[in-house]
Amino acid sequence: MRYAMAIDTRKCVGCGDCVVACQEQYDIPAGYCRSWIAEQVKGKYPNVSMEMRSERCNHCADAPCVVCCPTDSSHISEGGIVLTDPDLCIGCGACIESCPYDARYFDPVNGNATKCTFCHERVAGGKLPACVEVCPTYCMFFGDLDDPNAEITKLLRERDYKTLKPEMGTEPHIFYLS
Amino acid sequence: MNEELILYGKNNPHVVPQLEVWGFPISLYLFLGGMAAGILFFTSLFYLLKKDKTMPVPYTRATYIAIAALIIGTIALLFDLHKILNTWRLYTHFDLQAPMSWGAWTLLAIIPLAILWGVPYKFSFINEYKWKNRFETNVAIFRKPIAVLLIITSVILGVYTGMLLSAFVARPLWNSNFLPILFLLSGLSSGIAVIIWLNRNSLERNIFRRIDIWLIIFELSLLIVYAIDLFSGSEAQVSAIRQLAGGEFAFLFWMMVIFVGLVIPAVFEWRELRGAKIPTYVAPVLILIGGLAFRMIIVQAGQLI
Repeated sequence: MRYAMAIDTRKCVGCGDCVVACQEQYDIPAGYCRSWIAEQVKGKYPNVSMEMRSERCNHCADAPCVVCCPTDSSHISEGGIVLTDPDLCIGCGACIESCPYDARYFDPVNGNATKCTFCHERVAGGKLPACVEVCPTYCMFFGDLDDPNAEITKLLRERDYKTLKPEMGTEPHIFYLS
Repeated sequence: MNEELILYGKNNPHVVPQLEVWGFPISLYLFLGGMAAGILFFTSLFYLLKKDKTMPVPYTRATYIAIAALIIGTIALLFDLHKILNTWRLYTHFDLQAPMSWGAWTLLAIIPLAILWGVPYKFSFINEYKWKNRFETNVAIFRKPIAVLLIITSVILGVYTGMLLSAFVARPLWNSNFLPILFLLSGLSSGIAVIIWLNRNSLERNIFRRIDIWLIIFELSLLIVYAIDLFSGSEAQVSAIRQLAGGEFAFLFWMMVIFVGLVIPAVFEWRELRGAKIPTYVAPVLILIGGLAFRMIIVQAGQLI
């Protein structure tokens, strides 16, 4: 199993519901977030294009945060989900420094380095991640890349897509459809 | 135009807008660790070259400075951890790929080694105890293996302080293979600075001055190669090195690192070799200031881009 997410940048309106759903789901302290909305504007009027992206941890196959973690707290768990084990975390900050996407932060309550978990408990229970579930424009797709019949694999077969900062060589698992 | 902005969310403190997870304690530790590595490297090297009778300083007071630097550096490192009570987790296994794991195990090895190395010399305040002599003779038998182990661990410590930063692909200023060698050279030079500073024998000082001038020449050349390497790289690498060459950190970098930390002390040491009368402490103090400034600037600037 290789869980991944595809986000349709043509449908996303940047409402931020995914950000709030995540904050609600995990009781994230005020001022912190595990996902965010980026807007990219290209070109010069009248030839302008705009892209909206809901961004979060990319759950890289070759994750730098997992490599640099001295205690193996950061690990790749079942389904390729990158997780942190709070029991092992010493709060050194190496993973935060190593992330090309700046997806991690120190939890102000317990000092753990933390980030998006792809809602692994929800997914194990057969549900979708909170952000995907609430998306009002249905622009987010979550599924297993190894399953040829999943909606996400069909979309990635049929449409153009990109990943963020591919030059970092991290093999991200979040795909942006264009 | 190609503009990217964050519309919603992403305001995690210390990560956005600018990464500032590692600060002064880390720079201080990198500096003190490098300096201690330098001192311990030269004391054990000169012991193995059988210079310990004619050149006593590195084996006595300088070693105590190295022990103190290692302990202060480790304390700085520990208090930078957000979960200090979990520190023992570093020692439940060894991760070959994680520089910090190497560092944790190296510190665990080098601190006791340095203490064993320093103990047999002139601890006059415990001279009256009988066990002290017995302990000294026992340690003395193992001096050679301890020296060999110290050389190995001090080189690992010196290189690892740079490797800790250079392993991060996401930070272009750090992600250079020259950084570990630069940090090692700078650490050796800082170690020599301490040895010269504590030394009252001008012949011995001159030997170390000669080594130090060569180290500084190597370090300057390597800094140039490091800069060329980044300037000829990707856009991110170019903007990273621009911060030091002509941007936000340019004044500090050129002033504190290049002139105060490298060029001026090298010139002073060269003049002193020629017999000029300059107070002994001037060049070492400048080198140490430059070494700390180098770590601080690299740690700070590396997180900005």
